[in-house]
Amino acid sequence: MNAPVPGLAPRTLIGTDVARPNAKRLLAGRGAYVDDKRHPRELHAAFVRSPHAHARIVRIDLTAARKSPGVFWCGTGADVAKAVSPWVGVLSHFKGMKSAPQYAVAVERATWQGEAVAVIVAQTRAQAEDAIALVEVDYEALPAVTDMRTALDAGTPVIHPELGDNLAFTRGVDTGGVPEVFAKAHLVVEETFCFGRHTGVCLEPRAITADFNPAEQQLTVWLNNQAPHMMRDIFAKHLEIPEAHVRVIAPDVGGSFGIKVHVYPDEMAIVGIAKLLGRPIRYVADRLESFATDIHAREHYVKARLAVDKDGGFLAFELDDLTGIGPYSVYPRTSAVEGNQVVNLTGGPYDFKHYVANLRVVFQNKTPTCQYRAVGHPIAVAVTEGLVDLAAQKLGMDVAQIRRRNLIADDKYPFTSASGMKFEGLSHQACLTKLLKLMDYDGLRAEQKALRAKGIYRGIGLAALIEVTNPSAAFYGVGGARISSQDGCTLRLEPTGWVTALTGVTEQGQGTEAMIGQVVASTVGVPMEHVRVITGDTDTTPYGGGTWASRGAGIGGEAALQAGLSLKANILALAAAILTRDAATLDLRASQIVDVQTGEVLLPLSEAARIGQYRPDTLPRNFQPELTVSRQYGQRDYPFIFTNGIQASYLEVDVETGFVKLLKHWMVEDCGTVINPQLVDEQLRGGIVQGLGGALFEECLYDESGQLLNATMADYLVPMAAEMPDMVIGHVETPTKSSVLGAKGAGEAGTAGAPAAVMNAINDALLPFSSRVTEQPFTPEKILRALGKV
Amino acid sequence: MEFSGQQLIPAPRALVWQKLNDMVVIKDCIAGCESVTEIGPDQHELVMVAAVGPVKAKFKGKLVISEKMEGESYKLAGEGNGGIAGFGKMTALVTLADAEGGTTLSYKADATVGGKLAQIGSRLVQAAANKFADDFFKKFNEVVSLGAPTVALPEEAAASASPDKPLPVDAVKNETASASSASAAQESWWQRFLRALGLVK
Repeated sequence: MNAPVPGLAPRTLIGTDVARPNAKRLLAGRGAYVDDKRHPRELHAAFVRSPHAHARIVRIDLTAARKSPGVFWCGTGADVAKAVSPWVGVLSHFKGMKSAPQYAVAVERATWQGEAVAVIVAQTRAQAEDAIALVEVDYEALPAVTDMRTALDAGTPVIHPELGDNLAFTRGVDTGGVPEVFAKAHLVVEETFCFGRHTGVCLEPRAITADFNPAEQQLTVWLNNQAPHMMRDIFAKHLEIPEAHVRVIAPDVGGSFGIKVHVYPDEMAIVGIAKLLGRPIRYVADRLESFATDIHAREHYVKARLAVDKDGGFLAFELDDLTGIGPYSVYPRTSAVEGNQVVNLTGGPYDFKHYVANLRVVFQNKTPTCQYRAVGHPIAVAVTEGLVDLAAQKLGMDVAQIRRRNLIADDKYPFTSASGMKFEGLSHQACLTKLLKLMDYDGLRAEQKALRAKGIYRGIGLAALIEVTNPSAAFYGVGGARISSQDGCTLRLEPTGWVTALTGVTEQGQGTEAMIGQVVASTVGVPMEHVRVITGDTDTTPYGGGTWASRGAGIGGEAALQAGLSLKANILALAAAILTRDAATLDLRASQIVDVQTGEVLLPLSEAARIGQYRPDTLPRNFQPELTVSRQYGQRDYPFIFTNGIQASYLEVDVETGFVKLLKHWMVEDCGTVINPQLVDEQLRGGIVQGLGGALFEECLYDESGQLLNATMADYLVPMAAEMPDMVIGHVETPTKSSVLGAKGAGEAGTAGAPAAVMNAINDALLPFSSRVTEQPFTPEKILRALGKV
Repeated sequence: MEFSGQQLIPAPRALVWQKLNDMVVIKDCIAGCESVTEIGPDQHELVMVAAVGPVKAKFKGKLVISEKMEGESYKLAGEGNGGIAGFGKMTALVTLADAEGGTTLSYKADATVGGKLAQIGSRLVQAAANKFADDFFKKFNEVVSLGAPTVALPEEAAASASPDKPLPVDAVKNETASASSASAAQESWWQRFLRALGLVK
């Protein structure tokens, strides 16, 4: 199914369903997560959190808490600030961006309901929580800024007066001539779209154990994070200890979705207290805390327009995006990226010239927002695809036909979009063709029509998308963030002939270790079982960015491939020395040194490795076997390597109850070289489910005073198996030429397009009623309102 | 959140009004109320234990009566700080009207909660606040209407329910019947079982 990768043996594991080596261990309950590890002398922390969305902290009395059984230490924001310096979440390439200094524990003022104002450290978590009940805090409630639509009004209080206003960031894009295009267009469609704030609900909540050894001035942190090297740099900086004295270990991680790639004040407080006390401190967020302190995302209010010619050709997009990010921009990636992505990606799959966009990112007294799976994509895709369907409807065009007419032609690459994005090579048209065939589009339309006559309202929704993957330094590095866009892989040939692989990319359950193992096994020429992959330890793994922005396979995989090719060359050189043959006549296949032409087995790898490690005395004097190699890779050809795909949703709307029943979902996508089809497909399915959650169920509900109202699993609805449709996945493979491996990311495309596909399908189902919904999540109530039934 | 309710109290309006202004009665009718201390005219400090779903906490706060219209209505405003659980605020407009067989007491209440209490869901809080108000006025009805005692030895039962905090003398004297019935209702099955066995009084 995939083109052979140069330098690889013909029969490689790349493109095959290799079972995940760690799956059995996790399934057997032998995973080792942060909270599974016990440390001698460890203490447990619990946080006192503000019940107000915005309040001055008048007085904190810790007297009674200090006397509570088992309590070892209590502190306020000022106490913690003695160990941890504050931070400001801005990036220099976001011109004019501003945010206020944020402390690990609030000092003087709490700015969202759930922000920590004091912390208790005790022998057990239960004792720490008991002591919290004895903490007396006097608050002076301040007016809360909750509605982003009025956040910039003159009468609205300014959350950080020193910043002058509640505007964190604004950006405009204008290709010029847009008003004229709209004025002359055959048709202009416009729509307002609302997106409910939601969050990534990880099975394993955020967890940390931090230990500080005063004798060595050494900080060791067990943290379920996606980017251990980034966290190491941050801890070193804000605790003022040399980076070499910080070790961050990310053991098994139970899901992350971007939630675990940020700097959280709670975790910063824990490392600070560990340094103050010189003891291991553990903290695990409980579910209530997760909802109020994990980053949220996607609260957007978008007005957009599309200008179309009489043949349905797209002329111009216009976008106005307003997004609320909470009281601080999250460190160090900033909370401006999501809105920035919306501006970059709107209209992305289509060939059009004129674009004007305006973004405003505002502060509010709600939980801070930041990058969550498919950052900005679900918004951009829903806005774009919603307008596309509306245009098709007004023109009386079929929704597949209007996409066929406007999707960038497959032979038009490299292509630069109206928003300035550079596309190396995409396959929109091929994906559309494959999708329509997979879903039997015409058959479904016929079925829909027949059922409509019987009063059954089904809808078909399409959503084309592009996805940002394999980012270069353009994402963060250029803005001054110490977040690596590179990753490394170190391979060590063991004397047994097995290979140990250490990689900078991390595993959170998506199969990174399997993917790296597969690439290494394929490039070196050993069976998968002979490769052990080690991730998530800054003391042992090569420096690298970690796993985010769909970069694990594209960046980490390529580093592993380069290391594998290098190790193989070294092994063949060793074998050539042993066999006194020319290395060019040799190959390594299935752990055997073979004749490259005939395939004749000449020497087992284990024997070559044994000689290389224990009997170098038998080798020529001038030959040194090099059995450990390390390679780094960073993508530098494009700011991002885009992928593309298209999704379709088929669903039924019960027009009496407003309930939506998802019948089936299709996705055809192009992530370049598919390393492990099963893992890619499951990533896409998991991504789709997360997108469906935002489209239909998930929303962090706040009241007007900034109280989060549904912070439990009983009140915050997540998609569950029973509601999920069958998902059919197809692929088109356009490998990126920026790497030998050719892999692009696949982690987020599912989430990017699913909400748009569902929205379009619902609106297609509601077509006979001339009703539309554009406010996510599409709850039964909103659908009934659109139908005028409530 | 807003909620309202009504009680028909088989007592004359003047008596109902009098009881509505008797803090000892009010204290008795608030489930989980530990103390009420007068800090000014129609202003009281209140300590009570309340639970909403999994969150249980001791609330310290103020109870203020205002907008009094003699024999007609008043506004009851309470706010409490529950520490880790968050905070709660409630205002209730209580109105009296003559009715066949006694007095109709109507209330219209508005409650807001913050912190953990809000987080666990307005669904639970709404129900809990509703029940709290409902229980309060039901109990008040019971107290005022001076129903027949449902349990023998009311004074002993009342005392055993809170041995370390005996009821104020006037409360015991005036409201023995209702106080004891409430105490009996608060008893768990094993307390009644032990008493039946003669192991406790």
